[in-house]
Amino acid sequence: MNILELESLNYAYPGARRGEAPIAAVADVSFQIAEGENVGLVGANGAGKSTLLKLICGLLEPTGGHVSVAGTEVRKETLGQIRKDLGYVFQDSDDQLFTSTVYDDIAFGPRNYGYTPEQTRAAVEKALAAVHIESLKDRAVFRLSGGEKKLAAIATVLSMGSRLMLLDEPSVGLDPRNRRNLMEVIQSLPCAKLIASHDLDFIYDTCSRVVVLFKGRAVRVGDTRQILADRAFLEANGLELPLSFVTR
Amino acid sequence: MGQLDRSITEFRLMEEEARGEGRLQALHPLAKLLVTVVYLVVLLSFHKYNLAGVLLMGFYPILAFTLGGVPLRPMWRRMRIILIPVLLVGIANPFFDRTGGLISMMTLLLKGLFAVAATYLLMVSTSMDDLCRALRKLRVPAILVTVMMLIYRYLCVFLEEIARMRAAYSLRAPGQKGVHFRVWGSLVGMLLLRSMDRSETVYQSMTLRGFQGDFLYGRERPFSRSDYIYLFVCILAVLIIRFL
Ligand SMILES: Nc1ncnc2c1ncn2[C@@H]1O[C@H](COP(=O)(O)OP(=O)(O)O)[C@@H](O)[C@H]1O
Ligand SMILES: [Mg+2]
Repeated sequence: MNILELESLNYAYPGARRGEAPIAAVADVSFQIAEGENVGLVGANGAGKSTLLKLICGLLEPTGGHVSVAGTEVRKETLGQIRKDLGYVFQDSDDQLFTSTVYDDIAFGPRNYGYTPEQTRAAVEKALAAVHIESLKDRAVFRLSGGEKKLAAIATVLSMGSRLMLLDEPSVGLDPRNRRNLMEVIQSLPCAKLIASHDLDFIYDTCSRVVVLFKGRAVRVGDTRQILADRAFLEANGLELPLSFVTR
Repeated sequence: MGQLDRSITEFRLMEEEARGEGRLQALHPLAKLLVTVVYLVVLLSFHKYNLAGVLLMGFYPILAFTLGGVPLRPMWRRMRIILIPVLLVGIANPFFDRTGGLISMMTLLLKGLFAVAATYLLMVSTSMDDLCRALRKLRVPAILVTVMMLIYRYLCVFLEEIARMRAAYSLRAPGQKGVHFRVWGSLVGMLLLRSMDRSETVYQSMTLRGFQGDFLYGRERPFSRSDYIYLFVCILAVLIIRFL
């Protein structure tokens, strides 16, 4: 079964003023993600990546089309159920981590879903181990570095046992070492992932398939190696290969 | 710039202190909350000429600071924004109250000082997470507690946004002290929009993880014997001072 299915999804932000035309941000997007698969969502700034992720987790309501997660259509009434299967890692980790300690933040989801204290502790410990930050358990969130914050943010989602993780620009603002570490962590996690990024290098190493967005449209869906090798196509869609890539 | 960054750091440090290992921190949040509320209500109910009574009320902050091992000096640094106006109002009092001016001035000053001290003691010994949990235990409606918690988070976000915008502004207006009044309007508008936007995202991140108004985080722990003793002794002492 596919963990995610999008069917001619549409979304338009309301115009800034009354009577102004709505701004189409996602237009007629369809694709699927299989259980455990990693898919890259690439596109230039403003291509509609963040909007698409918000549609999938129900933060925005589509103006047309359907989203289903693990076979259940995303609607107002199903949100409670769907969000257990979904994890959203925000672009800015400061938006994600809001309690005072790392432990409490990771325990937030499990506690809300009614885990017992023992189950919660076990889930937190497992999540901490999966991203290798066991030592930060009792650290105050404001004392974490950017890289540590990102890993903690991923752990807050892992602890809920999500089957699909949505990551918005996970590599932005990380230095090369933290970025490589994040890449390894992402590769080691068994759940399916949809990774929005314009960091093609990062996508190349983590995803087997990519969806290329251009002005809200999915202009191409397919094998990562094939698509990222098509330089002319990428450039026509506002994407640029990093230098390290050209020599590969 | 520096002043603002210091405030943010102090705010954060207090939060960290609240989760420390001290004797006061170890007490149950609910016990501390109840004692503080009763203490404040009784303290403020004293008549303005009852200097002796108010003086006796000093027992709580003095004992809490000494026995609880809370350092006194940071309080002045952190609370002066509130303390200075309190002291000024107290000192100005003899001009309005000509008959017993000096006595009512002393009473007012002490009331203000003790009230700030009691609030401070709660703040450095109890984290916001624990406090929200305690409030829910007292059956305060979830919506009120959520709003309170969000306002608290919002305050942090707000301070950070101010610091960020001031940095961005001063980098492009070098050698200028403060912010030119002509851009105040747009700056304040921007600030509100940006911090509202961020608070909303924080709220979204909470709902995405199953939040439905119940604060299930913070430390869950049963009332111990020392919690009961602390609660009864403090409240009894406050009531004796007030009514005997
Ligand atoms: N809250 C909003 N209101 C109106 N338009 C928006 C809003 N957020 C994004 N947009 C517009 O939607 C388009 C897609 O934005 P976004 O999904 O954030 O792109 P990306 O994440 O790929 O950079 C952009 O043209 C952007 O200007
Ligand atoms: Mg984006």
